[in-house]
Amino acid sequence: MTDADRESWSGPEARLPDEKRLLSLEQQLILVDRVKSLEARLAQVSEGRHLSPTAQLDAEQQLIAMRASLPWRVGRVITIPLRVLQRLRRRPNN
Amino acid sequence: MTRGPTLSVWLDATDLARADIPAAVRSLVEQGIPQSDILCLVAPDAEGWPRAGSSVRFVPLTGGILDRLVSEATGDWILWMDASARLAPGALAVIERELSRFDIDLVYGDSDLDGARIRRPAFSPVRLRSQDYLGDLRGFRVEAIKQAGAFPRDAAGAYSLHLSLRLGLGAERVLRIPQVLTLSDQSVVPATEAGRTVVSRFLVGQGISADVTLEGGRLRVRYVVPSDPLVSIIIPTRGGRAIIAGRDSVLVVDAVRGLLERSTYSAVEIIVVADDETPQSVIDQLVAVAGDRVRLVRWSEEFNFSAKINRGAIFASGEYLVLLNDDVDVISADWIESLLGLASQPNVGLVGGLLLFEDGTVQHGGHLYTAGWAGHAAFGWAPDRDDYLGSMGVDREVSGVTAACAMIPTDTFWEVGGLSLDYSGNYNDVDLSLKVAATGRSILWTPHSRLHHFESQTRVAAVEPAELETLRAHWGTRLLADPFWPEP
Repeated sequence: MTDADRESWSGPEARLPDEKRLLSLEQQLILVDRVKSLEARLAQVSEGRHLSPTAQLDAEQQLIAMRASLPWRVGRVITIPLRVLQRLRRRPNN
Repeated sequence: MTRGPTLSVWLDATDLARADIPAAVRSLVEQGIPQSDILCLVAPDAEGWPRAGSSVRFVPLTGGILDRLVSEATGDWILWMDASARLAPGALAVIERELSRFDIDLVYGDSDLDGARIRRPAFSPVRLRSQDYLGDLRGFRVEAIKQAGAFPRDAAGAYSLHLSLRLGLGAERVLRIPQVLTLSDQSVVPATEAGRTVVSRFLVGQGISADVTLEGGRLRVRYVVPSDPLVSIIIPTRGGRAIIAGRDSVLVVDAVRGLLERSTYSAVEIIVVADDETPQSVIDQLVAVAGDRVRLVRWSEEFNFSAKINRGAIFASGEYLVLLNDDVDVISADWIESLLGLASQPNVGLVGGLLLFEDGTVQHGGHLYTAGWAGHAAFGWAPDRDDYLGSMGVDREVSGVTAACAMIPTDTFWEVGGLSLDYSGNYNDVDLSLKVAATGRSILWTPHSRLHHFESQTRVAAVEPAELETLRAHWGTRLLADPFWPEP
């Protein structure tokens, strides 16, 4: 018989005393991970408040580099009409 | 109106052969620093140093003089500059501006070496123990120097390293300015015997037991792990085969055989999480090779790498876990000790090593997160290639490490919820790294733990768009620019 014919292997398998214990521990990991994921998402929206000085300076430099980049400047030129329209709409009627 | 920080400059000219004092002084004076605020430190036995024809004060570095100079210092900051460097145009204004914005104790920045910008990583205190990578200009807040205590008497040439180690204990109070501050004649200060002494003494002061040796211009720190904690190595497998070095290899069997035969660390248990469809012959070979040192755990469900690792962790009884792929082979016999030495340091959450392809090129030199993507630093580099700073030869802080080989304290694994099931195939290690980093712990990479990773160099990873989308939703801002592997 070839290996492929077998349905599953057999051997000295490690087991927990209770199958429920395995499920409970796996659930524990899943739940903690869920909390960590939510914390990460929350941190995304409150980013900036907790930056270290180095991270803050890096972010500022990235922003400066982005604004100096060709794609950014081209984008600004292309969107001029739209931005003018927006400004006009915001202007009070009187 | 608040006044800006007041600065004085200490020019380190103890290496008189490299120093160009007139040029260094000129670069400072041109940006508005009066000569009277410049102090030039020279070796006590040095003679005939150039006086620069000025009111610069020359001070022979004799025992206790630095303590006296610091106690007399009236300014807020001391800029410590190597006399072989020149202040880059406009750098003083940048430094003054940033010092007035942030409440910090130590500042450093990039430099220019023959027209090439040397970008330095964010503050990396563990790396600093192996390599004084902060460059030839750094600023120290005078009050912080005073609080750091007396200067050692036998650290000539390594006083700035001594101060950086001491003031760097508060990593949040260190600022890297991502701009060129100096024009330099070298990218990084080579390690010296004085530096070795400084690092050894610093570690003793921190209660860290380690053996520090000088190796090829760098320091190798071998951390002593007091007891031999049990390390659980978790290997998920399907019992696959591959041609390795022209030979048909049953990957997991050869991986387990290699690590049992060639690892010098013995307190290990191996947990193999095997899919149902793993060939019986593979199981039999594993038992024959490892006997009761291997624990077999069954996986009967749909493929999910993360879930398989998590299940292995549930069966682990070790104090530390090693997540290991089945297509690896040990190169350095002390690979576990190298990981463990770092993983057992305070506040370290995850440690990875150097992984090489079969042909010796680099597969993993730490994770690299940039432009919304996650990849590997130094991927595909020839074995002897390095960057300007020599990053491939030193223990260092990284943004993340691959789960192909990573050690994590078991407590930390459980604290962050293990590997996320949101990432069944890809990015689970990126997510794990970022979860660990979010707890405030460091992630480290070491070149001293070396393994082959027989992943195909040409394989295009089947990335699930949903996994990448989830990763970006969770950690998008962390993936924009890598603080520890700065790129142009």
